[in-house]
Amino acid sequence: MDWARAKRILIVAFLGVNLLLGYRLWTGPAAPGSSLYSVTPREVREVAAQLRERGVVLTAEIPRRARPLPLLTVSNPPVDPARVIAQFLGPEVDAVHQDGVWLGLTGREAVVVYPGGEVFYRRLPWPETGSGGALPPAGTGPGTGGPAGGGQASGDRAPGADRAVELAREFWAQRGGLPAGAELDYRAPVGPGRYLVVFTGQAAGHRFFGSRAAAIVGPGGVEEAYGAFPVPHKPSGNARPILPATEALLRAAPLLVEKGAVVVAVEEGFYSPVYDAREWEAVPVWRILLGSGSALYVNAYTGAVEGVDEPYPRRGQEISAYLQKQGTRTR
Amino acid sequence: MPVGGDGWRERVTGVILALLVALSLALSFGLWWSAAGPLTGEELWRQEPQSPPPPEWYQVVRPTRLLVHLGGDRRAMFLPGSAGYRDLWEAGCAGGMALAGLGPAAREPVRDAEARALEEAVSVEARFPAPLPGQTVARAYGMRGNLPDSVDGLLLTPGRWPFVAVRCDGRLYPLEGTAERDYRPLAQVLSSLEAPQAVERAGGIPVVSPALPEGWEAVPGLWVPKVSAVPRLATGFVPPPGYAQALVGRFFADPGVVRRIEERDGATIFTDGRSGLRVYPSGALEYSTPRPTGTRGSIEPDAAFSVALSFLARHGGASPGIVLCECRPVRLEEEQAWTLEMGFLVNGMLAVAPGGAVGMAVGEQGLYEYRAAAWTPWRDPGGSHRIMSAQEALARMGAQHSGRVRILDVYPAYAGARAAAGELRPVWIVRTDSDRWAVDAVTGQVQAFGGRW
Repeated sequence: MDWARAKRILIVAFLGVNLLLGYRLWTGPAAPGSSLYSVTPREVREVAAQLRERGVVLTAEIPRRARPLPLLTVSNPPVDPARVIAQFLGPEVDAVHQDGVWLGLTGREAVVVYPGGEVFYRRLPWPETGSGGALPPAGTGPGTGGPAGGGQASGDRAPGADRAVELAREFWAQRGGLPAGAELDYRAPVGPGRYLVVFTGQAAGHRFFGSRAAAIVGPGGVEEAYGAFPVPHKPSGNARPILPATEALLRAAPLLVEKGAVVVAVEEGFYSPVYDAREWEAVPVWRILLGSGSALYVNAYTGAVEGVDEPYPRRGQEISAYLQKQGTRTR
Repeated sequence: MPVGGDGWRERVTGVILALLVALSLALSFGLWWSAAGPLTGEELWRQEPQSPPPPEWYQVVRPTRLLVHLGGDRRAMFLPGSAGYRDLWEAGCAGGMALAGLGPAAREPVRDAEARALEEAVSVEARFPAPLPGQTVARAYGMRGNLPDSVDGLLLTPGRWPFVAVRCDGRLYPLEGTAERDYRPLAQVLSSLEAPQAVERAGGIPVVSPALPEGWEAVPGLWVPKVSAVPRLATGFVPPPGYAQALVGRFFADPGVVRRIEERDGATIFTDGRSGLRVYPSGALEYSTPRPTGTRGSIEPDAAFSVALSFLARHGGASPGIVLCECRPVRLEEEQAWTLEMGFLVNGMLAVAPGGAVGMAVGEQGLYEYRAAAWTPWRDPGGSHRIMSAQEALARMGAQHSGRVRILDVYPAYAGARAAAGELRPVWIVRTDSDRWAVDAVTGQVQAFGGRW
């Protein structure tokens, strides 16, 4: 037998077979939730075209993979509202308990601590129209409250995107820290010279969108911040198949159309709102990130829209309510 | 045997071939795995479990008292569980044997003098715990035609000229039918109660027409039982280990997508992101599912009741002794829906909670809300409560309410909070034309019981 010739023939044959298998694997339809690709490039193109027709602009790459995921057990760390307020505004500031939340105020800054441990921070005065008002620089000296210097932009110039991230990171480092394991998730311009910077926790090799620290950084430094600190523990139950990202986009399409959205990222991870509960389970989601900094969380098991953050769920209305009740006009 | 350059080439081609074979195996495995991936969530949906048939309507649309007129001013009340109630129920109402095919004979109620005469004849009057939709009562007892919108009870006079009427707001509306009905079994039971000791032996309780606080009035035919003591009663349900988790399979089509929230008060919430089930440490449940937005239209009360009964059967809520206490229309945005409240019959009395021991909201798209106490099986803590009379309870209420009050019904019951476990309190339920009250039959404390009966 001519062994050399036989090998050459086998090499050619296997090369052909492998090319065919590879092509089939790349382009062929597959079961949702398989460990490899769930949707074909053609399906992705079709979904993108459908959304475009409805006025949704897709600049994000749509993941084709949808690996099975389990639920994720999470809980709140113990919260001491007085300590949180001291971390944000200084130890001399008293915590006021009102309407189920804890408030801390100085003349120039305010913090709300919610029962589940969420924190909302705002520089004062409270803007009367949205968050686009011209804000004075936050004080840094004694009597103005807060650990000095946290997240101040130098010279009140609009920070660049990188500088905004730096300021936000610095701010959180000085006011109690980022959620454990949080990494920079995204930044988005939210007005002239202003950026939304979001750090998100990690769990089981994915982002845990329920645990995050966000800050809006403007010319005067950090103007507004929001933090949620649920701690992810362990996966709960078996991994289950999830819907592909294309399906999540289609399920969220009515909301996307309503918002006239530009989709800038689609990513799988875990999400749950913050509950004032002992322990709960976060669900696998597809997060659809919009150009405005808002995010939609689509349940990756059922396709239901679980939450919409614009850009985060708490806006500290309790502060203005409190100030109104006190009859204090701050502007 | 290859040598020199040929040997080197042979080795290279050998390695390439081995790599290609390995790659081929890997790609084949990848293709197989992706094609035969795990089942989708929808495919994993459990098969609908075989659920027991819903209870018969007449078992749930059931009178909680039978008032027997024994001629003249002799009257007695039979509560569920007594021999008299059982015999009368079986002879007269069960299965609708005495009522099937009857329909309204006239739009006008019988005149007051006639009504008084009927109440002085030998007859039996079935009283519901609250006015129930005529449609629902008609369907439960196989009656025809349009009964009045709400029915408080039924009067059967099985004499030589049988007379049947529905009671509505204290008035009697006669019924008639073409088919022959056999009232003899009912007449026999009633005649067996004519002897003075027979009523007592059958568990009959004397009744009284209570004196009312000044300025108050009552609908005609208000009789209340003279009860001075009732057995103590406690809930006996202890959630077994894994109880909450076991419920998930009953309430969610795909339990695999359901997540859990452990509340600080010990309750557990399960949700699939759409529907939610809250399980209290006592075992009580609250389930809700969102009403589709923009739902319009309306549902008939008997259709709503049918949905409710099927839901109870499917979800294990049709406990023995369950009885309809309330069926009230409710406006949900553009939709006309119904709320249904149920209680349990125990120790001859109704066990109720504000909003119903079991409460449901049902609309055109099905059931929207379900709240259920986990009380059964009952526990007997032993002993009994001495309770105040209905008249004294009304006097306690009168001390707190000035102005005109119109009393529609008064009866003894057990009351408790739906989500709580423990002992239930004996109360007098007082239904007025605008509200519902519970007067603690031991302490005399008066509290609003919410909504209208």
